[in-house]
Amino acid sequence: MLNFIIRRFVFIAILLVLVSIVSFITIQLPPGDWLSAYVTALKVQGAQINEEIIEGLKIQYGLELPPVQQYFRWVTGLLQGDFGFSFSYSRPVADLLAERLPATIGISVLTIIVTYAIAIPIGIYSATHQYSPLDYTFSFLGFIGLSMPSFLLALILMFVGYKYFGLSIGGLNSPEFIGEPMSWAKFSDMLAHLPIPILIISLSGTAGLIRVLRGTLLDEIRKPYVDTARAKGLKERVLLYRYPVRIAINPLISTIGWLLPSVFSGQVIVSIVLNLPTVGPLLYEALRGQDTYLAGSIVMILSFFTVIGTLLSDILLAIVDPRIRIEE
Amino acid sequence: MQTPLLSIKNLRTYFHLDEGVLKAVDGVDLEMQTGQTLGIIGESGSGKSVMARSVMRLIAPPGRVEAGSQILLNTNDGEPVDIAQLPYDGDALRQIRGKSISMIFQEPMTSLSPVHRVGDQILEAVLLHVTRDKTEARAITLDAIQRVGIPNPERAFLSYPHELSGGLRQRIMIAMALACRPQLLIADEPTTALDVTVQWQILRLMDALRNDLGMAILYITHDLGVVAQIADTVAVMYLGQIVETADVFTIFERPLHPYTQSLLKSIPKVGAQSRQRLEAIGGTVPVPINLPVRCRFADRCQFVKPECSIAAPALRLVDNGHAVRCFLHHQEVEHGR
Repeated sequence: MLNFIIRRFVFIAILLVLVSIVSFITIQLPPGDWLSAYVTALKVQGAQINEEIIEGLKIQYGLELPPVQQYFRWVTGLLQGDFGFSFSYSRPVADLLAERLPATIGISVLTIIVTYAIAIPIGIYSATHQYSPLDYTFSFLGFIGLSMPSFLLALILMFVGYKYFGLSIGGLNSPEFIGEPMSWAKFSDMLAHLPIPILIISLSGTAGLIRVLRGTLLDEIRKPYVDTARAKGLKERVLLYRYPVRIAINPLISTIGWLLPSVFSGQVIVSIVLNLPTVGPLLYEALRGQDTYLAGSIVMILSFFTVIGTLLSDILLAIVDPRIRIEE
Repeated sequence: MQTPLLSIKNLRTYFHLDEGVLKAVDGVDLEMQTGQTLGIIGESGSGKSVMARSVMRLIAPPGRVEAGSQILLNTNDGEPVDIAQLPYDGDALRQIRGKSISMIFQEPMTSLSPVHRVGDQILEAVLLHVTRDKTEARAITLDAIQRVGIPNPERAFLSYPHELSGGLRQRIMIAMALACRPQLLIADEPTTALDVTVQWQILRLMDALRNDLGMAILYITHDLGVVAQIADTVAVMYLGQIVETADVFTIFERPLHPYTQSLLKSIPKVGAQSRQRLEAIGGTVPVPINLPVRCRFADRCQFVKPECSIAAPALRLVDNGHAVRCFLHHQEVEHGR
C-alpha cells in the first residue's frame, strides 16, 4: 500500500509538470499578449504612451523573454509558492486566490456532500422500488436535471425568487454586508444565500449519480449472495444495506476524485450568473484577457486538487473493497 | 411410521408474467424423514430449483407460492409449521430460514458476498440463530469451518471469497449452512460448478455431515451420477411435476416412466463403444405456460398412446414406495389386479 502511494506521488508530479506545460502553451496560443492588448486599448482611447514605458512594463512582467524562459520563470516561482502577478488586477495572484479560494472550496465541498446526500437515498429507493410511481418521478426529474444547462436553471430560479419571493439570490452576501468583516450576522446571511447555488451546481451530478447507483444496485440485488443472506434469515432491510448497497456504493466512491473538476467547471458559469465570489469567474476573465499567470495558476491548483482527489478515492476504494487490494 | 420432517402437499409456484401464468411448480407432493437424503432430478426448466426455493419461500415477484399449497415442517420445538402460510419477511419465517432449514446454492463464486470476510458471513448466521455472545459465536464458526475439512480455520475465517478456490468456497457455504445445525439442508446443484474430483469430495463431506448431525438433505441436481452417489430416495421432475419417485436402487434398476428411462439412457457408460452415440431425448422442455390438460411428456414420449392426449395421468403408487405418473403403468397395475 505504501509503495503504491509513493509510486502514485511520482506519477502525480510528472502529471502536474505536463499539465503546467500544456496549460501554459494553451494560454499563450492566441496571438499577442496581455500588454499589447492593453496598449492598443489605451491608444484607442487616445492616450499617449511612449515606447520607453512599454519597454519598461515588458521587462517588469518578463514579457520580453522567449516563451520557454517565461515558462520556467513561472514554474520556479510556483515551486517557491510565488504564483506570479496578475496583469489585469495589478496584484499578486496569490492575493486574488486567497480572497476567492476559501469560498470556492467551501461551495465545492458542500456541493459534493449535497450531491451524495440526495443521490444515495433516491438511488436506493429507485432500485428497490423499480417501476413504482416515485421511481418514474425521480427518473423524469433526473433526466431533466441531466439535460438542463445549469445556468438556465440559475436564471429561472433567480427570476422566480425575485418575482414571487422578493429574494435577491445573487452573490453570497446581501449588499449591506459586502466589505464588512466576518460576523455572526454576515455568516448567517451567507448561509441563507448558499442553498440555491449549491442545489443548482449539484443538480446534474446528482442526477447522474442516481442513474449510476440505481443501475448498479439493480444488478447487485439480483446476485446470488443476496439470496444467501436471505436464506440465513436476515431481515430484508438489514440485508439490503449490509450486502447489495454496500457493494453498489463502491463505484460512487471511485467517482469522488473526478466529481471535483466537474463541480468546478459547472460552477464557473453558475458563479458568473449568480455573481458568486468564487475562482470560476476569475478564471473565465483571466482566460479572456490572456492574464497568463492568473489563469495558469488557477488551472494548476485545480489539477492538483483533481489528482489528489483521484488518489484519495483510489485509496478509499482499496479500503472498502477487498477485491481491489493493491499489489505490493 | 414416524411423522415426516417435511411434508409438501400440492405445492404450486406460479410466475405471473405478461405472457400468461408460468406454472413452474404445479402440484408437487413430497415427504421427507429425518436423516433421509432425497434427490430431485430433472432437466433444466423442470422446476426443481423453484421447488427447492419455494420450501424456503425464496421466490421473488412475479413468482408466488399459490394459495392451497402446503409445506409442513416438523420443527424440533412444538407444533408443525406450514411455511406456505407464513407472512413474507415475518419473524416466524426468518426463524426457519437459516435455523431449521439451510440452503446451499449452485454458484459458489457468486453466492458469497465479495466484500465481507467469509468468517463474518458465517458468524452472522450464528449470531442470528444460536447465540448473541460474540466469542461463543466465533468458536462455533471456527468449529463449522473445521468440520467441512478446511485446514487452518483461523486463516480461512479472515479470507475473502476471491482468495479461495471454488471447492473451498463451496465448503464455506456448507459450513455456513451447517453452523446453526439445521434439520433440513437444501442443496441446489451445489457441485455443478465444480470439477469432478472436488465434486466427489463435497458429496462425501455432505454425506458424512448428514450422519454426524442427523439432518435431512434435499439434493437438487440434473446429474444422475451424483444422485446415485448421495440419495436414498429419488424424485424425477418434469415440467413442474414429479413423474416418478422410488428408492435410489429401484429408479436405476427398474425405471417405469418413459422420461426416467430416457434420462438413464442418456448417461455415458464406461466401457461402451466409443463410436456409439449417446441417446438424447428428442425435443426440448416446453415452457409451462397455458399447457393443455394431457400428459406433459406426450410430445416427447416413444410409447405415447391415444389417452395420453386426452387426460393427464396422476402420480399413482405402483409398488411399495414406487409411484409413477404414466398411463402405461397405471393400466398394468389395474389389469394385474
